[in-house]
Amino acid sequence: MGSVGRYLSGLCVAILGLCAAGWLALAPMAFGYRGNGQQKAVLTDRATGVGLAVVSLVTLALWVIAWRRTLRADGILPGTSRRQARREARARRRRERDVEAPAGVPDPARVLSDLRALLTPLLAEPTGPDEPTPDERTPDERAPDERAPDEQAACVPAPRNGPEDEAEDEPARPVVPHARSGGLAAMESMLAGAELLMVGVGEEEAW
Amino acid sequence: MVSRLALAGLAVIFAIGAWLVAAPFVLRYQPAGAPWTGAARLDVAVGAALAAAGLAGFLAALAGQVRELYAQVGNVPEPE
Repeated sequence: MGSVGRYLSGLCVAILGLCAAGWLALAPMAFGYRGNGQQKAVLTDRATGVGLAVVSLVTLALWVIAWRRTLRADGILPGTSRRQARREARARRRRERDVEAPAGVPDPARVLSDLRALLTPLLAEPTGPDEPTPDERTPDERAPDERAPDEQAACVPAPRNGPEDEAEDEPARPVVPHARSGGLAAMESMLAGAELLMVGVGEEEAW
Repeated sequence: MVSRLALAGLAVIFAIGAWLVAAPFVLRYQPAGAPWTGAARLDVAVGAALAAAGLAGFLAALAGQVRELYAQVGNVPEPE
């Protein structure tokens, strides 16, 4: 019989106790106790029936739990209960979704910060807000000492033949710097616009 | 722990049975020497059945537990 008999006997006794409790509760009505001192018997039977029912139910539950634990330990029942397995599957699915989310839909805040990090070095202006850097000027605009040797050779002035050339002897006019299209402020405003757009898109999706 | 509580439950069922057998005489709704009333007869019968079942179940469960303990000791390798 083994351990099965142990659990079965416990379960059987608990069920028998439940039946006895029901019988005790119903017996006074079934037999119609009357007479002197029978009120005491009715009270005793009802009280004992209720107590027995509670004890039997608890015992039954305990034997069921003990048996299930043994079956689980022996590998006959699955290691986890159905509810626990469902909870674990839900948690696993949530974890997978969290891992897949960055690959699918980019996080707006992260995109903006990446964009800002990429644009910041481009916006660095070491020479001043409006003055173009030497690299941005054409070779003709640069001073001769700033030119590369090959550029100096390419920009040798043509021989002057006429008086009109003398007009060009005037002192070199300062180079008028080109205004940068955009600049730091423009980039910042573009970034803010992009941020607004992403927030708007997010709200639209939420709707 | 659960097994011990379950065993205790069986012991309580046995105790309730014993109480049912004794109740008519303890509460005096069955006078001594008088013919037995229906209530007393019923309580003693139900109590006796319950006590017998509770005792049998308790002993069977206890025997199973002891058998398991013996089996566990038998599985442990003997120290050299």
